[in-house]
Order: sequence, then structure tokens, then C-alpha cells
Amino acid sequence: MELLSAVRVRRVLGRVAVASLLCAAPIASALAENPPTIDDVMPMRIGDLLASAVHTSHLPGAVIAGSLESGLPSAVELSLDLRDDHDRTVAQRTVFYRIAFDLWEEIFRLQGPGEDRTFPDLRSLESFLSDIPRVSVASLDRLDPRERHRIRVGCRLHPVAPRETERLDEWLGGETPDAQESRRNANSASEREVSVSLGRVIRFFYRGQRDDEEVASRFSAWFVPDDLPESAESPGVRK
Amino acid sequence: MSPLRPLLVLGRLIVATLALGVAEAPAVSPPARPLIVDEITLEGATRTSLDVVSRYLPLAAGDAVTPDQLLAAVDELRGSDLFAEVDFRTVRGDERGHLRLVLTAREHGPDVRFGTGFRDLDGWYLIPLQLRWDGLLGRGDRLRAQFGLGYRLAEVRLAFEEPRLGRDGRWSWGTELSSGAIDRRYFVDGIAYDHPIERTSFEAHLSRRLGEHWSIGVAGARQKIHADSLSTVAEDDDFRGVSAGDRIDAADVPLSASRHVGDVLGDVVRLDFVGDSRGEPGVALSPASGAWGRLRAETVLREDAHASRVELDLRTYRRVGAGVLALRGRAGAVEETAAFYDRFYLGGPYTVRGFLDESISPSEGDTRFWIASAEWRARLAGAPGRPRLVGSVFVDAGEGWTGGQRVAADDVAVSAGWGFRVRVPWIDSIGFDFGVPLTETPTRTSWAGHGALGWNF
Repeated sequence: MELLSAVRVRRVLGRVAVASLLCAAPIASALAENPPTIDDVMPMRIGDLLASAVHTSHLPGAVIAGSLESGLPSAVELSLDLRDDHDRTVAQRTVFYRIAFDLWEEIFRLQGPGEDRTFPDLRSLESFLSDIPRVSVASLDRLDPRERHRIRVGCRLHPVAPRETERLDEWLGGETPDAQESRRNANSASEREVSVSLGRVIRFFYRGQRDDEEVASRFSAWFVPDDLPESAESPGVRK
Repeated sequence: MSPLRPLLVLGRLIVATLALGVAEAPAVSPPARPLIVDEITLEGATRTSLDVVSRYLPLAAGDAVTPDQLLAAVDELRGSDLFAEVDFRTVRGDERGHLRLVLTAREHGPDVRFGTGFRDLDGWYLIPLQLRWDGLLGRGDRLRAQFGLGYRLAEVRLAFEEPRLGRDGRWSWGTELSSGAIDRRYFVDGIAYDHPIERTSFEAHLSRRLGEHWSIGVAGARQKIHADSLSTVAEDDDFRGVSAGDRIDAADVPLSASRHVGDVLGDVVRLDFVGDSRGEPGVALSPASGAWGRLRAETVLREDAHASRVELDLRTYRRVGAGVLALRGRAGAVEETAAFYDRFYLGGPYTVRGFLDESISPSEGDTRFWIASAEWRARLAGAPGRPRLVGSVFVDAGEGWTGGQRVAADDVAVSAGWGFRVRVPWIDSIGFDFGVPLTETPTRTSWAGHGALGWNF
């Protein structure tokens, strides 16, 4: 009986492995063919704000495009780091573009800071994401107007989008079933017990806290805040 | 300098660090038109069936859900720890607005863990090794074997539990075999003594959830207890001329007068009635609304004596200002025939925090007690919904006595103090409470500090 079940388990594992390979192969190949890239990062001034236009290719990427039509929201995350002359981070901003396919209307919807648009097809969505016009980075008051700066933009993809900001906080905060169980056993009037999986700890230190990695990143050219063009004159702004 | 000042400075530093980076999520989406779930399928699980999953997943085929509700349902399944990992995807259905949910699960394997714990009467202990194999039978079952070791405790425990049984998933049952030795602490003339007690127990429990907020449970246990006839001095005391480890002659041990020293076999039958309407910990790592209460009735049937015991524990939580006001009241009574190890002891982190552990009660314990606590908890650093550092101020009061003793207002022990909790990944939060007695202490100490895992209530 044990031998039988061992054989069955091995067979199931074999099938899962083969199926995974079969499923993963086209996605991997699509990604390998056209991985998302950040082509250009163009800083600009919008009044008292430092902003940046971001030009990309092949966003939202094969993985998100493949999962979008199933009806669940996905997200493209852009992290913008403002670096000073010594390459120290002086300001950070993270922007999420939440993308969903409406299974009733059969249209794509994109929501982000100051954006709420619909697109009739994937191509028009890709076109919008290839030319993200202006994302504010920091207040210019905080910067030395004569010092050199540059902006680093990193891009992460989330096939299932974070719903609210607390989901982001959850990833960073490390909320886990262990913590939830600890809270459940808080009902005891006079005792408390917590335990942590050794495997989880090892994975944490081995892999770091965030599972998702940047799929693309790019630095802008060095710039001096005083010399930045106003957004209307910037070549990075979509007309 | 205020003792809170270093904490405030630390809190401000953390706030400043967090403020460097700002994450911006998309605008809140307009209400989405619900999607119809045609089918739910499960992949990757070899022992657990979809029927078991349905007790943990608040979603069924035919339901109409928004994408966010669907994500929340999968999150709830993940949070239940039924599986080691849960991934999912949706597949477009045959009609507009329809989809199929495909869950991909990785079942738990044997898991090696470590941890720590605290019991009011046994003190802190480490769990250097815990072995778990959850879902071994594919019924959401939990199997745990662990070894605990502390200054006053050494034990092994083997526990099995099935938390959601029956068609509606409202039944649960479990069993536990444990064996260990503890040093029960008591004070005489300000000297702390430890009294060794060995206990082996086999317990089985069954409970059922009644509606959304109530549950009822019954448990039975067979226990073998050996209470030593000697005590040892717990800490050096030059003033009184005793050293830690000094053994006290049988005639001088207050507990030796008890007829409960020696071997005794007995059974325990317990009935619990629990109500819980608390919200999720959304403010200061604490529930900000609702209440929790438990009425416990217990009968101990030992060879040498029978004793019944009843205990009531009530807690309530309310938003007050920027924080949460948590209130607790506990009271209990046990028959005079109860052995000293079945009685109540006051003093310590779960009763009156300005006093040392078990220092308020006499060596033989109390047969009646009440305690009341008020604690205000507020965020010191971190995001409002998920703070990283939380502070508290509290007042505790309590009194214990034996049945025939007259209750006097002067005997009420009162203390006040402050504490903090730091949110720690994996284990909720850890912290410290610092209490100052406002009434006379039997140990003549001017303060007491207690480490804490999470909030004490």
C-alpha cells in the first residue's frame, strides 16, 4: 500500500512537473523574446515638483497579459529613486498602475495616480504604458538646485494587483500565518506561545523579504534641478 | 528624564526613516460589477479534498463576487494555514462575466520550528524544538510534538487537532498528551521559593461554534500529579541569609502542611462557553471594538479530594482618542478542598503587573479572586493601520482570599505602569510592561518588569 502510494505520488509529481514545464515554456519564451524594458527616463519640472516621464517597451508583459483576461486585476509597479551626486537616495516614490479586464464589458481599465482610463484592446493599453507622461518624484524645495542628481526607475509586475495600500504594507511588514496563529492563541487568560518555522526563517534570509523582483530598471542622465525644462517644453511629455 | 523619552526618540527615528519612502497605490476603484464563479477546482493537493477546502474558503460555485472579494476569499484560505502555499488563477468562463477559479496548493510537510512561550504560573520557557505535520490526514488536521524548557519548566507535549469538522465546519476536536515538571513559585516573608510538581496529562476536547460569535466546548483529562515535599529557595537574599538552591526541610515547607503533597491521580472535566465579537487588530496592534468573554466551569476529581471551580474572563475594546482603551475583568472561585496547585495566585503579567509573579497570594494559594485592568494603547511609530511600535499605560487592581477570610478593601493590590510592543514578523509582537505597586507589597519591591508576547489581554 505504501509502495503503491509512493508510486502514485511520484507519478503525480512527474505529471505536475511536466505540466509546469509545458505551461512555463511558452511564457518563458515570450518573456525571453520580449521582456519589458525601460527605454528612457526623462526628468522635468512641473512648478515646484520634480517629475519624470518614463518610456517603456513591452509592458505590461506577457505574464500579466496572459492573466488579465481571466478577470482579475494586475498591477505594474514603478519605483522611482532620486539619487544625489554621491548616489545616495534622497527621495523615493512608488507608483502602482492597476490594470483589469472587465469580463462584462470586455474592455481594459487602467487606474493609477491621476489616471482612470479604459482601452478597447491590449494594444492600446500597451501603447499607453510605453509612454508614461509624468510621474512626480519629489518637491524641488528639498533639493540643492545646483547639485547633480539622477533618477533610477525600477519596474515590478504583479499579476494579481494589490488592492489597497495595506496590502503593500503587508508585504513589507511580514504578516504571516504564524503571526495570525499567535494572535489566535492570545485568547488564553494566562499563557501565550509562539513558534517560527525554521524553513521560513532560512528562506527569509536566503531570498529576502520580497518575492517579486524588478523586471527592468534604468537611470536617467545626470541633471541639475535649476536646468530642468518645464514639463510643457520637455521632450518626454506626450502631446 | 522620563522613562518614555528614549522610546519616543526611537519612535521618531523610525517614523523619519519610514517617511523617506512613500508608496502610492492606485485610486480606490469604483464598485465593480460582480463576476459569477462557475466552478472551483483544486490542483496540487494529494491528501486534501475540495470538500475540506470549502470549510476554509468563503466562496462557492455559483456565487457572485467582485474581484476584490475573490482575492479576499483566497487570502482567508491562505490565512487559515490549511496549506503551506496557496496560489490561484482564474479562467474566463463560457459566458460574459463568468469565470472559473483554479486553486493550486502545496500541502504541508514535516516542519521543524522553534519558539518561546509564557505561562502565568510556570514562567518563561523556550521551545528549542517543535515538530509539526499539519494536514497529514488531509482533513485540516494539526499534529504537533514539542519540547519546552525554562527556568521553572521542562515538558514534552504531543497534540493533535482537527479545527473544522462536519458539513458546516463548526465542530472541532483535539487531544493532547503532555508530561513535565514545573517549579511552582510562592513567597513567604519576602523570600521566593520554588516547589517542584510533576504532571502527566492526557486530554481530549470537543467544541462547536454557535453562530458568528459564540462557541461551546467540553474537555476531559486524566492527570497524574506528584507534588514534592521539599521546596528550594529561588533567589539569593543576603539580608535574610538564604541562597538560591537552598533546600527547605519538610517541616518548614508551608506546603508540606498540605495533604496534597505526594502522588495523586485524578480526572478533570471542563466546560467552556466563549463569546467573541472583537474586530481585527486594526489600531495599536489591538482590536478596537467588540468584546471577548469566557465562562469556564471545571470539576477536579482526584483520589484525595474533589473540587469544582468556576472562572469568568471578560474583555472589551473601544476607540478612545488616537488609541484603544482595553478593559478586562476576571474573577474565579474554587472549593476549599482544592489542592494548592489547583488554586489561584495573583501577581505578575496576567494579573497585577506591579507585583512579582504569584507574590500577592499566600503559599497555599487563594480560593477566590478578582482582577480588573484598564489599558490605553496607542501607536508610537509606523503606519496607522499597521504600527511597528505601540505604547501603553495601564492600571491593574486585584484581590485574592480564601473562602472563610473576610474581604477587606485594604487588601486590594493596585499597580500602574507603562509598556510597549514592537511588531515582529512571524510572531505578532513582543514587548515589555513596567509596573509600580501603589499599595503595600509582600516582597517590598518598588517595581516589577515583565516581558510579553503580544498583548496580555
